[in-house]
Amino acid sequence: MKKFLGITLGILTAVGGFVDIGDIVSGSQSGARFGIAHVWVIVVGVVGICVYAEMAGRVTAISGRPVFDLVRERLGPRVALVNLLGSYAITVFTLGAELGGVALALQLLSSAPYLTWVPLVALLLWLALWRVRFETLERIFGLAGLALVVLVVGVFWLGPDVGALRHQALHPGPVPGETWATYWFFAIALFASAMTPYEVFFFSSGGVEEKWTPRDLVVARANVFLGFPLGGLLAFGFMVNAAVVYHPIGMRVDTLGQAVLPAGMALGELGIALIILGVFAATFGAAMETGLSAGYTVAQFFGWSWGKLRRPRSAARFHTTVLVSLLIGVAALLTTIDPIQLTEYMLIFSAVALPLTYIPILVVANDRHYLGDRVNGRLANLMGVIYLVIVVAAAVAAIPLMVFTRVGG
Amino acid sequence: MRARAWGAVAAAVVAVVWGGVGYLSTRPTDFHSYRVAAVGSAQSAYTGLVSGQQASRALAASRIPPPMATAMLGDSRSAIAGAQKRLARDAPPDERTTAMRDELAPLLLQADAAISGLEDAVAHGGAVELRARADAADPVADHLRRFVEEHG
Repeated sequence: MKKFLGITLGILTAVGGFVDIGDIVSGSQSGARFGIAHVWVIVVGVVGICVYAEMAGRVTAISGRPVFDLVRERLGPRVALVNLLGSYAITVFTLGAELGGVALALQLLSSAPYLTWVPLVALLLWLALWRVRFETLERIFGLAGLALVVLVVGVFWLGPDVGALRHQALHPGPVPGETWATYWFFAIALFASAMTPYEVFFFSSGGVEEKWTPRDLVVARANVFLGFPLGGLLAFGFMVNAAVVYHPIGMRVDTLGQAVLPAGMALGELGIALIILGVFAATFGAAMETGLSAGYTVAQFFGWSWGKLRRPRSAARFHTTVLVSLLIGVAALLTTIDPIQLTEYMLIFSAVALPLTYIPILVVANDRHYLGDRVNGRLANLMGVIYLVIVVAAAVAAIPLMVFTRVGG
Repeated sequence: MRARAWGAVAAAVVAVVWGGVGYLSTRPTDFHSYRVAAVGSAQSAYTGLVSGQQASRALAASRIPPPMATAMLGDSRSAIAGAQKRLARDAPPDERTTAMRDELAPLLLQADAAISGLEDAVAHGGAVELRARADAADPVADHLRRFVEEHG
């Protein structure tokens, strides 16, 4: 029973972490512009996050310590500081984007401007992180996020042109009117949304909070190999819906309303209610994870007492960091920047920062001092190195493509 | 010495970025950049208009709740306003781009008017009026799409 419950951590990480505002935006935009010609990127991203999350989970289960803590110890404070600065900046902007996603979901239900929701959502998030138990949050948002399955089911009601979808999937590349540059720009955004740095830090630190031991390795792996592919399937749901509804008429996706409308077209008000519930849960869950991840990384770097399970008084600096990160995210949104645009920029800068996160994990996962005979095997290292090459290539190409395509055109 | 070298590199990077941004922000508009801006405006307006039509039709068929349709129409209005602003930012540099602007500017006004009509219908009209107004916007949407395909 304990193992079964432990898997909910994976589902939460997958739904709230894999399917977050980044996946919703990048999946929908890519589907509208290229059909499902980017579906391979989701597969590559899912495998990549599985490879590295498995390493992070193994490191945590064997050593009993979070990955970032070990990165600082193993690679020294200077390298860890570069890692911290890169991942913290990306995590805080991701937090802002997730808060914006929650506010946009509430706007669709109320028609009140999303900016009026932002402070309330932030307050609710802070209270949840402050007062509500970790397991309770996991279960509520993990299960509610599963409502996104409605997208995958709903697509069959939309009468998809299966032949056209198959053609798009089997012939990756730009469609007429698009260029290779925009095609690769969206490929990098999708890849970055799958491998966002906070996911592994949250997964690893969450494992420490749940007191994983080597006996929990099975649970950690089940979380990774069930949770992340499930998240990938849900992310694919956004892509395929946009591909069916918007791609044939040359329309783009610029708003959350457009991303979720296909569920209403397919299943009516019930479909819309479920999809908005799912988006709310996924973005709120991801906001929770990013808020905690911001606190985890800073506290682990400086060696402070940390943890959601610790009373705020005994981990005051950790909880203060979470609160300050939340306020920075809110401030970013209150500049009136469009949350969708914020997400687009966040994904590209996230791609740039990916090597800072994944190179140290690969190094630590090969250190016998921490892992004994549970260090990476040949397959894990082969996959790890292949993905490092992909990650570095994406990081190098991200900014030039952003400039050249004017953020995707 | 090491710190001095790093300082020189940082100063060089700042100078290059500063110069690049200065060049890009003061570069006069040419045919290509105006065409890109015009097509971008048309695409935004097309997406906004069609999105408003779809939301209205879905509301008329009771497939989405009224607040969602209102929010989506608000987004459509913002998209079209943004498109108008983008088109007005630069003067067309030659005759071809002047013709582009003369074709697109009225379309953007019509798209804006169509969204206003849909907002009125959501607030005061019934399903039949909503469908009728959504259908009435089809020619504008078609024209915007043709503009994008022709000049894109």
